[in-house]
Amino acid sequence: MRNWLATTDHKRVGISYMLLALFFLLVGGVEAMLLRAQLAQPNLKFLSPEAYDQAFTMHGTTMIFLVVTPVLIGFTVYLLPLMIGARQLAYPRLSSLAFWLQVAGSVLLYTSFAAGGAPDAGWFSYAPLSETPYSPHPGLDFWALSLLLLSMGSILSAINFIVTIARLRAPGMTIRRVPLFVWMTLVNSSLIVFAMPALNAALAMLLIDRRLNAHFFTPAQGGSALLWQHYFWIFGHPEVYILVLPAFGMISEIIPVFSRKPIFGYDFMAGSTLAIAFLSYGVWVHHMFAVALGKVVLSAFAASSMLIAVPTGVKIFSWTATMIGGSIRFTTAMLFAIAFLLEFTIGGLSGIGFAMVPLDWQLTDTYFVVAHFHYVLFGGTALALFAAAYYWFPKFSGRLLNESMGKWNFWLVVIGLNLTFFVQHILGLLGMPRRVYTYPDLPWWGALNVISTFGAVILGLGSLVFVVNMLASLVFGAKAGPDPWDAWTLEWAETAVPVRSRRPLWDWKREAKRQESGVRSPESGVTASGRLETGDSRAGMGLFVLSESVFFFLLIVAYEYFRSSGGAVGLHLRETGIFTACLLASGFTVWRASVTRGRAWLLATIALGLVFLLGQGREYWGLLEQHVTISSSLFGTTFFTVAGFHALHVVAGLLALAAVWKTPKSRMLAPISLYWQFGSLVWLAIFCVVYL
Amino acid sequence: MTTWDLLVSGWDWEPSVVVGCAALAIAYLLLARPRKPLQAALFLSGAALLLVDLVSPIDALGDHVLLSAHVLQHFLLALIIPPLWLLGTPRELVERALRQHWLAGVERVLARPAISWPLGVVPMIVWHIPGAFNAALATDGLHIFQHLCFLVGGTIFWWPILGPLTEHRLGLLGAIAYLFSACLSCSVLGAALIFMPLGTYPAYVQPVGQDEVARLVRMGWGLDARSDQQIGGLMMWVPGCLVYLSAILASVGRWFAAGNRDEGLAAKASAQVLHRQ
Repeated sequence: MRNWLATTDHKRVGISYMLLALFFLLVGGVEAMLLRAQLAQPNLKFLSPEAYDQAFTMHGTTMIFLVVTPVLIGFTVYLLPLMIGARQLAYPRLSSLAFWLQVAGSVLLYTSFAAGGAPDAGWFSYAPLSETPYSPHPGLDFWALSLLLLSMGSILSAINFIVTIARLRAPGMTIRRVPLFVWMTLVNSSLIVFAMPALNAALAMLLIDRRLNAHFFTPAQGGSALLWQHYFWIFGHPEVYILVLPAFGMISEIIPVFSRKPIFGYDFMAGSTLAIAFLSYGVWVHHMFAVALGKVVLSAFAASSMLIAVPTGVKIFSWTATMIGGSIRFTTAMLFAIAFLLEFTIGGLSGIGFAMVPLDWQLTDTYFVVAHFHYVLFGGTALALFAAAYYWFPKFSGRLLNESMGKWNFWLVVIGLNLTFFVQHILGLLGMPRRVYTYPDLPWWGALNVISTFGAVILGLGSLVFVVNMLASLVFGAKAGPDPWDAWTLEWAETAVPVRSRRPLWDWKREAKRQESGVRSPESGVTASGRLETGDSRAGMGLFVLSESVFFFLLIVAYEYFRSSGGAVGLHLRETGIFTACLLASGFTVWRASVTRGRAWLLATIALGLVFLLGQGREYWGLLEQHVTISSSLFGTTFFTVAGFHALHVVAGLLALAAVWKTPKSRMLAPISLYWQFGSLVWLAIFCVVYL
Repeated sequence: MTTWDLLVSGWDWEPSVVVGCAALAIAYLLLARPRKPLQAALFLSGAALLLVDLVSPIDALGDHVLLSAHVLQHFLLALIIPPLWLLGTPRELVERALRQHWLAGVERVLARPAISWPLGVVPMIVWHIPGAFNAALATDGLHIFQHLCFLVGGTIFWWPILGPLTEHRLGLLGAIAYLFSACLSCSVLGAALIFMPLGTYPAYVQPVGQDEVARLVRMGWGLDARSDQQIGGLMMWVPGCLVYLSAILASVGRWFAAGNRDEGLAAKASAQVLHRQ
């Protein structure tokens, strides 16, 4: 047991992630069942309005952050090192930390039930509904705090994946040859590194609003509810691709193996993934078409949103073309992969519909939206995950999942999925609003809702068959052997296999067959050692710093956004200028410290950092004496947030410097120095914006 | 005045511009002696676009009535014309030129991403700061200097991506970071323009001296000052980023194509296995 709790082994961490996700899948599934039970008939009183709000908020939050995210990370943690021939992830302890952050966040979210009510403002918690006057109970504080933990965990995992792919590939595994799952993980992790900090910034601001009576998102005090929407969707739209890109990667591994053909258009698959990632940052406003932003802005975002369908379409064609002319084996994994293609395409097509502004105005906040994103997230990601489970279960457990139970699993889930969600398109067109606990008895509404609830029951049964299949197969399943599917990627290789193409394992088997007659066995390859240089911890810190800079950038933008409503008062330009010079000088001394590894430079850095903090303290004190506090005005709110978060980073940097004081030769000094220099540059930016 | 009138009579054949563009085209044909017709077409269309950009109604509208037309002008100067020139320049011409030691030295310095990136991006940001922008509108000399900044800065910016010397181009990851960060700065600038209060660029709120054109734009086209400013911001944001994104995808495509040539044999071998299975 202790071996599992304290493990840093990527296989065990991966399995832990998946089990955690499986548990919350059941929890989120029960919540979905409650929702569907309440909606089965018009004017039901099965759930109270309050309970219904909590159930749909928790269902959405759970499925996105507690199920799909961890299960995708789990698969990646387990498979990534094997696929590129590495022995471990780049930072094994970091992956363990990320897992426990995930656990802590999940537990925290569900503790809210015991602390006076779960969050109930929807998974995107629009302000000002999520602010204290409208949601006084602490549910939303739990929501914001737990999401902060979860998103930090995701960022750490993403950094880990990027460095692993960049540095730990086996000899011969060039970046042009990595399996598409690895390539998509690389792109996806970059998305996480840049998009998650937007969520963190929004959550931090919401928490400051709620706990310290600040005014970021409260229009009554001059704040802007719209700012929350912008920040949330700057994160939220890339998040859609964060949830679906690894699924694309899984499908790109499964379809070729069961079609007995290499993937069609590897280059286009890789390139289109990049295109999706870049475009996904430029389309967030299509979640906000109903907000009055002006028709010019709407048209531009409508165009960019439609554009993103092009690279996605390229993928669909590539998968289809891979199957054409192949000799397809219809295993359960392959059936799920084919169903993924069809169902995801339906979700994609209704998504293009939403890019058309007038259609969006008609359909936004109706069940059409619910139908759309369930086709994307269930029809897309979840079906791909079922496929992945059937495909890689033998790798994880050594046993095959039962195929006949698998067929039951497949048909129940696919039929249930379409029954549940297809009719919701029609309900949306009829005008049924989402997030309302019941509905009047209008023609067809009751009938369609009953079909939807019936479908949900079938879907639930299908998922239960999967759980039973897994438990049964763990005990009674057929022994799988090392390579049950005749696969092409390294995770199925028994020994170290040389990598000379994108299909190392197929090459290896062909070689072996050819040499069967001869005595010589095929030449074996080398796996990467998994040992890291100092440069690699700098690489990880570099990515972390990039992520942090997005966070600070958004805080500074918030300051700038509110500049017109009450400017700066009572700031001391000259003194702060001097302290700024101290901090910038410390950026130089810490660099000298990391080069010379001498204590003197280290001491100078710590001293300069302390002087800066003292200066900051003096500035805060001066403001407080003039009754400028975080809750007094928007200037106070934005200034103390931006400066306070920076000061926190300086404190963290000082602690890190103190931690290496005893061992100045430690290789940890290089990344700490990078972090410190980042901190001083951030202050320079803040100083320029706030003081100049 | 109708749109047609504007299209016909809105041309200002400023002699220095016409002569300059013609000289550029003639100098190109004489010096570069391009052998590939596509290359010549690219360069000459760059020169022609420059002429159109500076004498056509785009210029007239941009100077007095529409911020968006002015942004379009800058967009063409910095992001479209320089790539056309670079793609149209034959390698031999550059090699010949770099035999001059001082030119080779200049090229070595300017082609460094740490130099070329700011030379391309900083003018874009600085010249759209309201003070600088309005000053350039008021003074002709400054305005010409502004356009030269975009043109020259743009050419230097694109050199490590599209320059004729392929060995001086950035590697894949470098190119992605180079272009993506430029795209980010462009987006931020565009977003700022969209959300900036009206009146930041006063010349476009109440156009002076061009009553007929202004009436056409406001009444005929129905473009108020707010929409105009938003279109200006979006011009930088969406099409601007698309140029960078296309360049990124082109780099990825080129990179894979180069790799696939190396891997051709391995791929063939693998295809044979599958046939037998």
